[in-house]
Formats: sequence, C-alpha cells, structure tokens
Amino acid sequence: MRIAATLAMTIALMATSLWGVDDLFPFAPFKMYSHAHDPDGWANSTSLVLTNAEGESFAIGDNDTGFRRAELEGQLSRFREDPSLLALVAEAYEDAHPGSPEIVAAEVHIRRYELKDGERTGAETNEIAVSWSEGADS
Amino acid sequence: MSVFTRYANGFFFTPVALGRVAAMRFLAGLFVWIEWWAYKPFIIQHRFLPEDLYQPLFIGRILPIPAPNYWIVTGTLVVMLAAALPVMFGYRPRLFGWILFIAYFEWMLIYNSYGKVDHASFGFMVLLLVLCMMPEARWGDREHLSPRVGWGFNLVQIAVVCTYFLSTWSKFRYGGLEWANSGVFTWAIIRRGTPFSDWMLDFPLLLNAAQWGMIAFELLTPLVLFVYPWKRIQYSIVAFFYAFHVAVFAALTISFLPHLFAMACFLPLERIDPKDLARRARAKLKGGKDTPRRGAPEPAAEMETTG
Repeated sequence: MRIAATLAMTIALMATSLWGVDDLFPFAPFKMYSHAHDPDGWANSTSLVLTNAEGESFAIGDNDTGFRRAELEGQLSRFREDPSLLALVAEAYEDAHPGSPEIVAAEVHIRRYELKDGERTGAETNEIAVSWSEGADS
Repeated sequence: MSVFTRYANGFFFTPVALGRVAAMRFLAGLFVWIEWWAYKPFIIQHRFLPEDLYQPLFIGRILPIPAPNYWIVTGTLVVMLAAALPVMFGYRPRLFGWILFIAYFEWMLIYNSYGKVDHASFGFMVLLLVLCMMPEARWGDREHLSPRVGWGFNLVQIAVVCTYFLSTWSKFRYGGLEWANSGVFTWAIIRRGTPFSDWMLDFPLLLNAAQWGMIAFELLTPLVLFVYPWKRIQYSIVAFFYAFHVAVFAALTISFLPHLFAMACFLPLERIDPKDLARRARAKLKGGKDTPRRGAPEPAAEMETTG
C-alpha cells in the first residue's frame, strides 16, 4: 500500500512532466528555466511603469501590487487584447499604497537586448507593449 | 531474503528515529513563518488584486475554491501561521498538521493562480502531508525507530529528487536538446544577475559549460536515493546539493527555499537535542574551568581570571 503510494506519486510526477501543463499544479512539469534561448537573438525583460497624478513615472516591483513580473508576462496576451486590464493593476497599487497619489496611467515596457554568440552586443530596444491611461478606456 | 529484496525493502522502509520527526516539524513550521514576509512577500500582496486577474488552476476549478480576495488571503495566512506554532513545538502535531497542510495548500493556490506557476515547493508540500501521518515525537529521540517515518521521509526525498531530475525532462521538452547550447543562462543573468554573476556575461562559453554541467547534475541526482545504505556518501551528496543552491543563489538570487527545508529530511537531525545542548552549554559555563574546549577558549579564560 505504502509502496503503491510512493509509486503513484512518482508516476504522476513523471507523466505530468511529459504531458502535463502548469494548470495541473501541484503536479505538472518542473519547468523553471526550461526554455532554450537563442544565443543569437534577443533577450527580453519586462517591466510595469506607473504614472501618478503628479506626473511621476516609476517602475514597480513584485511586491508593490502582488502582481509579479512573471504573472504579467504570463497574462501578457490578455493585456495586449484589453489594455484596460492595467486599470486593475493600478487599482491594486492604490489599495496597497493608500495615501500615495492616484495612478493615472500604466505601461508595460519590454526591453530587449541583442545577443550574439550569447554575448550582449549592446544593442537594445524598448517597446511599450501595452498602455493605458485614465479616461482613455471609458 | 535475497540481496535485492533486502535492498528494495530498505529503500522504502528503513526505520528512522522519531527525533527527526520533531526536528522536521520544527523546520516546517519555521519555514511557514519565514516565507510569508521574508521569502515570498508578494503572496500576501495578492489580497489587493481584483478577481479579474485570478486565473484558477485545474484544482481550483474542480474544488469549490472561491477567488481570493482581501479577507480570504488574510484569513488563510492567519490560520496557517496559527497552526504552524503547535506543529513546531509538537503539541497535537497531527491535528494541527492537517490544518497547516490544508491552509498551506490554499496559500499555494493563492500564490500560483495569477498567470505564473512556480514549482519549488512540491517537496515541501509532501513534507507537510507526511508529517500529519507520523506519530508524536520528541527532539533527540534516537531510540524509537519507525518504518512508517522512514517511508514518509523517503517519499519527501523522492519528491525532492524528482524536482531536479524531472526538471531536465522539462528542459528537453520545452527547450529541446539544444537547451544546453542555448543562451538560457545569459538570459537569466540579464534578468536577475548579481555582482557575483554579471561578469560571466562576458564568457558565454563558460555559461555554456555550466548549462551542460546543470544537465549532468540533474540527471545524476537520483543517485542520492540509491546510495542510502552508505550514509556518508549520501550526506556528502546532500551537502553538495546545498552548495549548488548557495551558488545559484549568489548568481541569480533564486533560492528554492522550501525545497531546501524539505531536503533536510535526508540528514540525521535526530542527533540534535536542544535540551541536551542547553544543559551542556550551562554545564560548560559553570564548570568549564577545567575543560577548555576548542570552541571558545578565549572568553572562558577571561571569565576565569575575572571571576
């Protein structure tokens, strides 16, 4: 019985590693850093930039809203389709920082670094992938 | 009994001293107390996120689990922390162990249901689960051995090893065979490099070699389970695992902390008895004059002359 439990866990882990997806948490593929990155291509880094009513713009970290960079990247296609979702993140920021000025705009920036043989060439681009500002979406 | 049967039986059921259970319960509770504010502080910040950003996982859809909001997140945290305390100190550890396991599982759903799933805590969740099934235990108890405890920790150990071993499968699955020759470490360092790793960006061949090393390391990890009859080798391998994580942390500030806590069940923690240590420390303070130890001879000598 106990051996069966051990084997069941192992087999479940193996099967979900081969065919599973993240959705099957807590099982599913252990895919931290499992994607190959082309050594002759572009490496990217995403950030979320908020602008408040006083005109200050700043990039926020994972703990400012609880909406992490990786989560933003995971849902990026949703944000591209519907930029007004950024209003929700702005709202979360305001709730988490009562007393700080109101957020009036938000942008998702994707900075890309060119790689050649795995080394940075120094070439960079900065794309504003999604942009929302208060009033624009209503 | 043939050699093989004995080996296989020992693999699953080598009895483990109950003292280790007490130590692991303490460590598990300690991690729960550390994680929410020091290690993953964004989980509690999820309480501010509107429901529209919640992307329930499969398990969150089949079980009637409500979308997290301010009070669900806060409440889960409070229950989890409250249950961790009695578990840590061995008061009704099974009852509170179950509460802790359930609350922690919900906590993990809150963690992973917003577009990104992390996989560092599988071993830790298995640990919380098996601790619920183990008997009450005292620190430093090396006399009472239990095959059930041996089985439980073996399960955690397999989960820990799978985290390494199967992550290589994922690398082949998602990255393909060329993962090891790709720019993945460069990418990782650009995203989260530190002074200890940024210089490596100038040496892509080194990073490439490190990627091959990573594959070899992960594919070899199951050895740590199979060498169980030779404890000294097993402990050395576990020490190597910890060293590997120190290096990864220095390079990328990724620490897999819950995994490291779960992995502690490889170690003979039943040898630690805090009460006995305290008693001995007190004895040393009082009567340490005649037996200067290697540890701290200077202050002891000072005390002697002044007192």
